[in-house]
Amino acid sequence: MSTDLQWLLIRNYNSFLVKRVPEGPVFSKEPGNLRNLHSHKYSGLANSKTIAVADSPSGVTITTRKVKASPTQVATGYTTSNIRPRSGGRRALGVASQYAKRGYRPDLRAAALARVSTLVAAQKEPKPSPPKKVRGKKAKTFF
Amino acid sequence: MLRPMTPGQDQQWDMIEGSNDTITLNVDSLHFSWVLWLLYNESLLISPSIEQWSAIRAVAKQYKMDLIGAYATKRMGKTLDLVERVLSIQRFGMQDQWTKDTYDIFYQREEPISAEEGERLGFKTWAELNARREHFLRNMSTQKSSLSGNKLKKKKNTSDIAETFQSTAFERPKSSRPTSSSSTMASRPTVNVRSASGEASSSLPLPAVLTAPIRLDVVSQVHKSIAKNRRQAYSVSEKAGHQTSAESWGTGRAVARIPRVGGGGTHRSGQAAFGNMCRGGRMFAPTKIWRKWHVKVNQNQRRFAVVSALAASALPSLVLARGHRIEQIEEVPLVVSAATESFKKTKEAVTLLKALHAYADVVKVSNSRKLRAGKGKLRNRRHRQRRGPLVVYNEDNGIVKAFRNLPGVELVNVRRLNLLQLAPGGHLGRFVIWTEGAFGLLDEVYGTFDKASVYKKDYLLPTAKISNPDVTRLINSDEIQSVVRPAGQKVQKRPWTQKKNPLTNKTVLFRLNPYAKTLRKQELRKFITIRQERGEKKKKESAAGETFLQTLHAP
Repeated sequence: MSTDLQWLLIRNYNSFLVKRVPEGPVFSKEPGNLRNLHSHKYSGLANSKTIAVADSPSGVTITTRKVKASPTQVATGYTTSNIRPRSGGRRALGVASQYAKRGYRPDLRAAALARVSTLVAAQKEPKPSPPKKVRGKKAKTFF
Repeated sequence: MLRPMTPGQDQQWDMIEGSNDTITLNVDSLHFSWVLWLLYNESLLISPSIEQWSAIRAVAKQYKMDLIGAYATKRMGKTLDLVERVLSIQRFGMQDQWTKDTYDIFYQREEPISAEEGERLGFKTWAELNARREHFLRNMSTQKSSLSGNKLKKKKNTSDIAETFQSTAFERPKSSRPTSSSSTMASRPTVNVRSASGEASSSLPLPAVLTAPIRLDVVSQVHKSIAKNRRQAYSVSEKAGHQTSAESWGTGRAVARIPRVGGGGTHRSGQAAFGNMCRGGRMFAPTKIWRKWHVKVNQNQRRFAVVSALAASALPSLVLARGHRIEQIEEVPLVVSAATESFKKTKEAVTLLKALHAYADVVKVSNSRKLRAGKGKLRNRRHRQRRGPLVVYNEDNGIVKAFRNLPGVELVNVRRLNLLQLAPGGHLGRFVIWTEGAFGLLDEVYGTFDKASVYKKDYLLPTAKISNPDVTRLINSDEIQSVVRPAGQKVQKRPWTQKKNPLTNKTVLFRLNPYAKTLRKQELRKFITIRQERGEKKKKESAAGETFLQTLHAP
């Protein structure tokens, strides 16, 4: 079935829809939605090709549709690749941009990169904050 | 229709039809007349068809006219169309050497049963013939111990049929059409049948109903009406608010002229009654049980809605969008082997669902079980929960009892599919698990785009308004691209920054109108000269004359 028709069918109502703020943006919770926005372009359901970028203990996983998968295949129709933790931002972005370079959803390039870089940044261990310097009266009493 | 011969009749000559007055002749008069024509003068049967010969053969066999039967068989010959032969055998139910020969040719010939033949034979016959053929070929190949050739044949056979189904999936039949091999968005024409361990064992062609048009508006509207048909009538008591002998006090008592309860000794006496505005009075327009509870929906609309809902249940995205946990299952539509229908124990059912990775949907239902808000708790609707998978079977050999205790799982016979179960709440995409038998029967129950249903009189599947709803593909099609004009130059409205107002911005003004610069300069020069002139004049001028001033300042 065409993606346009599928989008029309799920546009008005589906179980992933999030409408929290009146007059505000409409979000979507489905996997494969890179910006979590309820729109045809970013929809993880109504597109034959999707890129799903998700956080996992083993780094960042990128799930895409197999090239020759039939539209009825569900679990077996997807393939995942992993970006190992501590790969660093440059390499992670290189991996993520490969899909667009190969012509697989080039329109999602920016969104995929943004999501990967956010996840990589979030997985980074934060620098330990330096000990607080004691100032004023307290400093005098200590020394 | 002729009745085939039964062994009992064979032994007892007295019991044969037509042998005496009490047992009447049970023969189609037309068929018998053909036999008579043959006996009288064969040339009167103008180019007899295979059907006529078959009928003659059947009549001959029934009445033990062996010579006529042999003659008819001979005339039918061996060069006739195989499919027609099989169909005539099925119709007259004959069992003899000729029948055997016909089937043998089918099993032994090199080329597989073609798609066209399959279409003419019907799904059941085709499947049976194919199975027997495969069996036969396997036996042959084990004798020859050469499996490879056989496998190739089988593959070619299935792909042949597959092509037919793909072409019927989106483009409507009846028209000579080009190959649809390029249509990548077409649903897969065959669907795997999964065994109890969850592995694909065999495959079935995709029924036409699963490619029917999906109309959300039809489904929601029909669902809305159908859902009303199971309502129970309710109303307030007929007597409520009227169980008092109140009467109006009339004017003169400085109270409203509403009926008032008479008597004394209680608080009630003197209180207003009956009116909808009164405490203890009846409601306005008391509800009656003779309300219009049911809504009629046209049969074709009901069928359209069911067909739409079925087609939606075959799309993974719509099933996901309804909230079913099908991320881990392998395929939609999910078909399980026929052995499932004879499951007796829920334990078996759970094992199957786990093997199919469909158990997550049952767990979802189990976790969603909540106490219902409101009075429904007291009215046998204590809990509310999600809906799980719908199991569709062909024959209940224990499957219902095996599955029914699983939370959220519902079961239904394929002949009695119901919109309320296929699209609960009017939302498309119920997760359906089919048994092999049920899936194979769908083409009979709902028919196809060009073959009427067996169970619904004259019912053909609805056709879509457009055969290809893929907008991107339409735009990029050769037909459209060959007639559109080439793209023009890019027009950028604001190539640099914000638009400047030439009336206030000098640079922009001079760019637009170079003469403006000269003009301005001239203007400026003119202004300056005028000023200078004015300034000089001012110096010359004075408020009073010199002589006057001298006189004024004189000491």
